Amino acid sequence: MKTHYYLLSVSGSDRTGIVAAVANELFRHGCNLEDSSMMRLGSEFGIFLIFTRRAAANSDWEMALLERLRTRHALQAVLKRLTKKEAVSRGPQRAKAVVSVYGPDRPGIVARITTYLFARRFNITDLSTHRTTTGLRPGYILVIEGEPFSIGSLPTLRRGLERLGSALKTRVAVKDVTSAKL
Amino acid sequence: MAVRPIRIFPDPVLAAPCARVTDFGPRLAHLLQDLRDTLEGGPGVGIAAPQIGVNERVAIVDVSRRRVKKGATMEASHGLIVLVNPEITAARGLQTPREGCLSVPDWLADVRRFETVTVRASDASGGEFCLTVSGFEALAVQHEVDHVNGRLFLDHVTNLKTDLIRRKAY
Repeated sequence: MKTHYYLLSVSGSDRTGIVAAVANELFRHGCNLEDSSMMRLGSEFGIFLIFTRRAAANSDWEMALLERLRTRHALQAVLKRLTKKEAVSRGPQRAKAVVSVYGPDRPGIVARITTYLFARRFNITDLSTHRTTTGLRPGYILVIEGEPFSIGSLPTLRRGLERLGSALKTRVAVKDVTSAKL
Repeated sequence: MAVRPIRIFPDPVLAAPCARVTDFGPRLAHLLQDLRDTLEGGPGVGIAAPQIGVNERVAIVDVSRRRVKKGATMEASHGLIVLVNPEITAARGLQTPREGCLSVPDWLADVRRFETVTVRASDASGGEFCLTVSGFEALAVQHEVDHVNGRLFLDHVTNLKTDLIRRKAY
């Protein structure tokens, strides 16, 4: 029998038991969890799971899984078939950097900064935004983790982001956080 | 002399590099007293002039004010340190403390700081000095020097999943 690879994305109102519910539904169908990532945003909870299943290919169990997640657990779920390469591929370790952006809130900060990074071939791997309301006006904190095109490109990236930050009236700091290979 | 209101992020005064002090007369003495009074009135161990709305390279640090857990040993400190036109001239070692700021009341962050720093500054009369500090005192000095350079501890976040933490209580 062939091994099939899947990506399951699940979201729903945060409450105790979601992870156990999803894990048990997958176990019922003979699935093996390979990798996962979870987050909470507001009152919502989200999970990405990559798993495998050794079986003859058919879509009946896929529909049954999604239906049970929806009706028994009130979860929204999407299932996507992957190739083995898509499921396990990470690529060689690249340089890493963290970009911190903070200042008064205004429309367009995330769009302008991420567009600038894209144009300079910076691959964003994670992003977090927070809005503050304790000051006299709202503030915005944006932290981006990602892979610069090359570690040598960081000084140029830093200068360009600082100029963009000035135009947006916001502070931008760039840090090299590449892990050492030990 | 007064307890002054703390400027809160994203107040623009916190983002501007501060002007060097050239006049060590009564106006500076008045500012330093306001900083002391404001520090005394709150829970912090340091405060910089931009945090009370003044764009000048002036800060004070007093980590002897730090509350320590019962039974814990207080680290050695220099008591009240007045920093006028401070510059960090040497730094070594690393520490990763969890840092907060009176001007960013909702957030804490695990940041990378130097374990030991040497700071060159003037005192309230204009006399220059160099001081080497370590541990928590070094953390406080770096934090306040950041303030007079127009920076916040948010500059030093290196892991967004684990570093930025919402503050629950002050």
